[in-house]
Amino acid sequence: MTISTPITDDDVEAFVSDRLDPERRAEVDRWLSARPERLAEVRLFQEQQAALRRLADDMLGDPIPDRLLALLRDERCGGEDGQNINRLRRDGPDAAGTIG
Amino acid sequence: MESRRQALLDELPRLRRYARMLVGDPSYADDLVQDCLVRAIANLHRWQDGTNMRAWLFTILRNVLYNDLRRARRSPFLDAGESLETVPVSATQESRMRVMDVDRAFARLAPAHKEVFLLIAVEGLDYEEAARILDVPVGTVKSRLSRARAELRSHIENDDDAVQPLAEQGLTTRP
Repeated sequence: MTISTPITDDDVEAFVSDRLDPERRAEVDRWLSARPERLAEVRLFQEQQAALRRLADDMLGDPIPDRLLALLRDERCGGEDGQNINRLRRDGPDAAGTIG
Repeated sequence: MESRRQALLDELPRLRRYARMLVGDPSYADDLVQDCLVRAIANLHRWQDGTNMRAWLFTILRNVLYNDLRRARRSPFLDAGESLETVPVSATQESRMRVMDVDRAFARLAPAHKEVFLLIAVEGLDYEEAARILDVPVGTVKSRLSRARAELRSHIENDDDAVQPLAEQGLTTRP
């Protein structure tokens, strides 16, 4: 007879966030199926999360503004003191090329 | 150094998304990303290969945001009215309405709940990584996450009082 570790709130949270190994996942799944109220809550949380992930996934394809890409192309854009950041803010993205 | 710049570039879409979901306003989000990139590039030599570039960038972005909020006395996370609902959602997705509801509810989450939800549930970071970024113990990350889910649910269930709670807290919209 195997001894199973008791299911905790952390397990349930990890179940919702998809971060359990398959074995533990199955255990939590069984545990939930005997607790309809908890199961309903988990289902709802999963739906919320899935909806936000879909929304978030759609954003990944957004075109990246040139002002951001320009920063990565510009080798001279260095400095530790935060001055450059302020200058960027003040002068706008076109100033990126003159920093350094 | 080139490969690090490439790694930075690879993370750019996620960094923009993180900022966007955190503050709502797309152009303010990109301002934050821009400042974050300037800092990251200036400190690229300090980034250690093999460590998590994403977590490093998120940490910088968060510092930039909080510095900006302090400096400008901007209300945290702005704008309850401007949710993410203008983001195009492809029509093929089922339950489009539900996405909108969740989106609006998310925009109304308490800032601390928003952050933790984004890091764990959307970006899929470890609890430990999220704890480092947020500078709180792992236990706090977990408790905030469950409160975030509950708050999200309650906003979805009580959708008619939209915006009201934030207004009651005296939070103003972005100028």
